[in-house]
Amino acid sequence: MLQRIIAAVLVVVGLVAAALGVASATVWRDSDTVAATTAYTGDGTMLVTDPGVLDLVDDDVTIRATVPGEQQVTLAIGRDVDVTGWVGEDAHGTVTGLTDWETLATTAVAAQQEPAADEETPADGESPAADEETPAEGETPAEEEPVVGPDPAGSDMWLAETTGTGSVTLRWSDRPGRWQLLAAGVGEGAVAPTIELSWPREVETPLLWPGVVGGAVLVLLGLGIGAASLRPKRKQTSGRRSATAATPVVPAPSEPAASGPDEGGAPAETSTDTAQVRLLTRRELREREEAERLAQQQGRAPKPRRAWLTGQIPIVPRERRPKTAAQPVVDPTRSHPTEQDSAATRADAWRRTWGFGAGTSSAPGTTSDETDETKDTSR
Amino acid sequence: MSTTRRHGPPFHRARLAVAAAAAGTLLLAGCAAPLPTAEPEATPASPQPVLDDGQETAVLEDVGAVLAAASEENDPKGLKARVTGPALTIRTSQLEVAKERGDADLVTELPSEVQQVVIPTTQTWPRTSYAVSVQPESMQSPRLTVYEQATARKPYKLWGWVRLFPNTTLPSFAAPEIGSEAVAPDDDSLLVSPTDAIAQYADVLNLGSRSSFADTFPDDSFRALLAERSKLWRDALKPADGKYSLKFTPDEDDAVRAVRTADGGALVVGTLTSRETMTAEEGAVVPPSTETEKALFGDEDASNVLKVGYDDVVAIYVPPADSGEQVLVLGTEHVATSIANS
Repeated sequence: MLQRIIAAVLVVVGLVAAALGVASATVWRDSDTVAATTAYTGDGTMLVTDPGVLDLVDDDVTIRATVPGEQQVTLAIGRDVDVTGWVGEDAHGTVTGLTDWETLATTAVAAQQEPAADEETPADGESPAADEETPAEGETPAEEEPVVGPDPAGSDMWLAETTGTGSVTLRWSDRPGRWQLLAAGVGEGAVAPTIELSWPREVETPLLWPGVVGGAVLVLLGLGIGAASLRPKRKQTSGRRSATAATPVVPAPSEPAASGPDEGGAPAETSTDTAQVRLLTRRELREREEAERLAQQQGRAPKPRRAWLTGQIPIVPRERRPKTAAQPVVDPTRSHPTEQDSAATRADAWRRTWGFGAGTSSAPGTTSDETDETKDTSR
Repeated sequence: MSTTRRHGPPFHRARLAVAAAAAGTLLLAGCAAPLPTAEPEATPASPQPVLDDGQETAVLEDVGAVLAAASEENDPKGLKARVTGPALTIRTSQLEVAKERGDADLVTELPSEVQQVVIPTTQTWPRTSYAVSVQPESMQSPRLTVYEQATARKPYKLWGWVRLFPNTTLPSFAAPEIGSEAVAPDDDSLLVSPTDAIAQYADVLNLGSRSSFADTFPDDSFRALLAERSKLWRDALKPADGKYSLKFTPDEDDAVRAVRTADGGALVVGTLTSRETMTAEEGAVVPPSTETEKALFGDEDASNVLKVGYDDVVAIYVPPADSGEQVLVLGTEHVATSIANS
């Protein structure tokens, strides 16, 4: 009983494992793309990615930068020294990697020269307009002065760049070297853009085959144990008396019994089991004698007879019969002389016609000897 | 046997539990793949060239387009975007002269198609790249052009050019993919430091064979040209008791650009200004002689004094200190940019 439970558990676990394996490669499969976004709120109008960030997940990356409203935004990719040099001492954010699969880690880098220190000069080469406004207002100009985001667009140093309003997209395939992305909000009142890096990802499904194969193994194991447990069950009733008897007993009489309770298809067989076995054994003996006699008389066509003798035909399940039955069916018609002569043939044909042959004559056929042994051992 | 059988099932169950737990852990582990971290390539041991082939080509084309646009209109306004330094001064003057005289030939032809580029490995700024053009359509000698990126946020701009002397063999440079090292103006690995090379050449131009550096610089076609012109003027001024002088002065600051050649020497490009003074006796008239001078002179009345100011760019090859090679002037540009009658 316990073995049967274990078998059932194994089968269930095996099925579950296989299902989980399949699920890991289907419904639970990770997305084919990784898209991570910055959430930078620090100073500066620029974001820079560290070398190695652009090819963090895959060599091919799609960069998307967005800025609020109708502002200008520029994306540029250059060698690390060039990007670092371009950004210079301005405040900016640095993208250092991933904090999770959806978020890019950023750190703020403060301006090395305080822009408030001398209001006239900050970025004056780039923003003459801003300078004109400051002297007029006078009071705390450093605070009020609108931030003017310098535009990296058009530099000779970039290998790829794009500029647009609101949002821009840039594709980049990694190549040898240390590359950085520079994303800049451009113009007055600019803020650092929000960057989204998306990579195609090769999703691995390492659990698919182990799950399926392992599950299959478990199922088979369970079925095996289940099958085995059913024989001992019969054996237990008869064999509990002597444990040693178990082994030799196993194959013979338990088989029909095993199928009996499980399938419930042949209770009649089970009930008549013992009685029939004996009866048939005798009949079989008789048949064998007859067959031997026939064989001696006619050495011409021993095969069909031998087939009956060994009881192979009866073993074949009824559904499959046409296949294997072909031989016996065809042969007799061809080499018929035998059939007229032999009572056994006729008897067998009758049995076959009425479907008796399988159950009745087979089991005894194979097991007759063993049955005797069983009896002997059990005695 | 019976005892083991009784103990068996718990073992089975325990094993099953362990197996299930392991499978569950595996599943969870599979769902949460580790986050990748940035693994950039190591910084290259030797500095890399700062422009690749395509970028350099783009720079040259851009500069060429700006020059072409300015030449078309004879309007120097747009030059500043891509021209700087002595090149800007000279070009501006040339365009004004060309407009005045209606003669585009007075503008030095600068092909943007090049036969060789020299890319720097300077990782900071300024950065200077060089190019040797193909032969211009006018069949003059090829130009050596110098481009400079002053700061990271500025574009490369044409800083200067020289007309290479005919039959000049340029030193060989490292391939653009490797890049060439910039040489400091006071570099001491050379026969003469770049700054000194320009100063000494100016001295040679001023004093000729009397210069103490005359031995350093072999004769060149620029000196031959100047000598010819000097002789012409001296001959012309002689009857009027006139004098002719030409004095070269190296630019005070930021006058030299130098880049390492393959043999460890340097290509030095320097700027000078020169002033040519022609004086004749009182009452005599010294008119401007060349088209350029006439254009610069305009409607002024000629007097007995004529002073012509030139902007010059010279390119000199300086060998390494102990090579036994000689300094070689490769080319010059000598353009009149100002003129005065007193």
